[in-house]
Amino acid sequence: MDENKMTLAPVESKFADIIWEHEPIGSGALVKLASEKLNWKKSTTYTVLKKLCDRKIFINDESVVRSLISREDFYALQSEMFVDETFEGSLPLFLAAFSRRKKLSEKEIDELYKLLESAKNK
Amino acid sequence: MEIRHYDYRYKLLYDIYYFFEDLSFDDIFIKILEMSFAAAIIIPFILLIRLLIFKLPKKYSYFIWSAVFIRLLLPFNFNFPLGFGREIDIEGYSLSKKGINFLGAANAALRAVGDAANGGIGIQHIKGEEHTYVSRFWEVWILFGKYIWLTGFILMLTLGIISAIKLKKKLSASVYLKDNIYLCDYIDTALVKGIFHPKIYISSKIREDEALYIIFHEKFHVTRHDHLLKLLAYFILAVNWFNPLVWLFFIYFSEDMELSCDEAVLSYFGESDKQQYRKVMLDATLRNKRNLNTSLYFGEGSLKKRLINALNFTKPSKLTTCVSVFLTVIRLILLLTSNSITVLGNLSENNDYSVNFATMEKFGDGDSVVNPAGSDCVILKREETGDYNKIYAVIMYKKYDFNGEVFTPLKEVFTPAVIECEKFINEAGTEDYEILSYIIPKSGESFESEVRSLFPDNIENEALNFEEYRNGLEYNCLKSAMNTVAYNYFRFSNDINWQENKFTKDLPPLEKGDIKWVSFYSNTTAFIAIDNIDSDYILSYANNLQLEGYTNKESYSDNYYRVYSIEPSVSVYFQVGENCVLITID
Repeated sequence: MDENKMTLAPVESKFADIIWEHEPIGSGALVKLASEKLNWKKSTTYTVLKKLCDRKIFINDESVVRSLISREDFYALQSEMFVDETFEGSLPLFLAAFSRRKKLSEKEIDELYKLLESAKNK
Repeated sequence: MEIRHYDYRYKLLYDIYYFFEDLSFDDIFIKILEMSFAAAIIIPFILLIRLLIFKLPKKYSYFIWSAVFIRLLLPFNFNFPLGFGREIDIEGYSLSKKGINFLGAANAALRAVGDAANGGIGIQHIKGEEHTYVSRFWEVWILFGKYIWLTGFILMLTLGIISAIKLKKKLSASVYLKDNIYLCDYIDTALVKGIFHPKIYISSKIREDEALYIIFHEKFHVTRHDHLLKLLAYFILAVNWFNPLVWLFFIYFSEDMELSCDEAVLSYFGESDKQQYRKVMLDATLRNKRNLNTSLYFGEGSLKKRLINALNFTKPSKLTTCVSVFLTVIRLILLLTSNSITVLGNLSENNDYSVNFATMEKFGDGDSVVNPAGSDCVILKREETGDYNKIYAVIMYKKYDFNGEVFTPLKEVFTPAVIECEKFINEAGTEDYEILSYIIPKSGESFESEVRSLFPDNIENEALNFEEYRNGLEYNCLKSAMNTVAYNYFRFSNDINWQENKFTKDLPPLEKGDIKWVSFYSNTTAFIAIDNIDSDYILSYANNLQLEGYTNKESYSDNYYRVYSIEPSVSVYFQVGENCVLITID
């Protein structure tokens, strides 16, 4: 895994969710939480935390852990990166592929319309 | 003087106890070498068998590797009468640390090089006195060898531990799923870790459709206790790191372990699923670039092979299965029981180990009464007419220097000899041989012609190749000692008188047992250090021989010695000054 890419592996995401849910959180308290929820040792928590900090997702500022990017923004970025890699950044292509197998529901089409409208107006 | 008393019923217990009591680093090292050598014989066979049953499911290959495990883990031998080929026996070791005898082909190799390196005469301190002794050729190698081995062993263990620690670090950041399965980001496919509570770690990189198969594969590893076997195999590898065949064993065993596991998974799922599983393995191959064959935990092995195996796998018919199982079991039995390997030189068909004899010079008017003793000579031919025997043999003789106080061993050589002796019944009521005469060819230019003229045509070459018998003799001494009258105890009662098998009161309380004794004369006064003669001065061939001489000046002549051994031993031949005396003691 590219150390500098802003991604999260499945197990790391679980850990990241804990931080996002409780931030800002003292590193000690985080260790405790990780131990409760994931059964992780202190060293494990710190190791993974450092990894995520190196990727600039979180920051451990004098034993206080907080995020550098919100959860929503992060996953938005993931989707963007995915479309970039798979569909060369073309959203229409993505939608075409998406709707290729499953038909879009009425509700979804309405939502899309609204999005496109607001995007046009920006 | 230490007397060990054995009750035959508890022999095994005594054997075990004394084995550990005498155990030393030397012993362990030699035992390892021997076991490694024994394994080196079976491993090629197993590899060959593997090739032959290539078409059959790999689980049979996996199964027959158990022969190697057993051979390499158990330090003792079974002795079943079955076995292929001749009876081969590598068990020359197992006596005390003193008479270490390392036999076999390795011995010959060592000797070739050792002789060059080891001209040496060493100084040994026995009971405070200095005795020079000619060190045996292999002792130099054991001296260095055991430390070299130890270094390698520790290195292997360290590597294993380090990789285990590294892995543990990776696996610490994982999430519990269910049963004993955990999810981890930092591995590529899946592996099993743990001894008593094995845990399966699967990679988060695998896809959902792969998951089922991968989990099944790893679970199968767990049920089959592969995680333990792998560890055991690694330990065997660490102990036998110097043996390239054992490396082959480790590699192929791991491979068979993986392949048979795949087969199990495939046979569980239906035909359509097989395609899926092969796809899974293909993906795993692409993902898993590193091939950690020597890793303790990674269960992948060569994925290419696994793919090929999976592609070729078809469920065997009942007949094939029956045949394979039968063959495998037979092979396993053969492998386990044919566990003795003799690596000897070319011994004549006429070898007769039942004649034991001692010989001595006839001096003065004394009777040269002799008791037969150990079977430590190789008899090439025996001509018997009534009680008279003419024996053509290869014997060993040692030369000592005696300065009036101390015996100094000078050399020990093997040499052909022609001995004439006569059978008679001794005081103990058993058969003995009285030596009438013996001839030992003189070394030097005329040696060969002398041997050729002395020995009959068909055995003269063998007599000349007597160096070959050196190993055989050493080996046979010990073997016969151990197998026939091993751990004979020997006790005389206090008031046994010489004439009627009794001794004077000065002797320690002993009772006459099964052991034979030898009496001999010498006309060298200096040799008769009557009161001082002590086991230490007569260096035994096997070093576990304890000799004690007693005299009874009243019953025989002044220079009469009785020598007996406490434990079975091999021959002691010595020449004192001009007198050549061979004594073999059982």
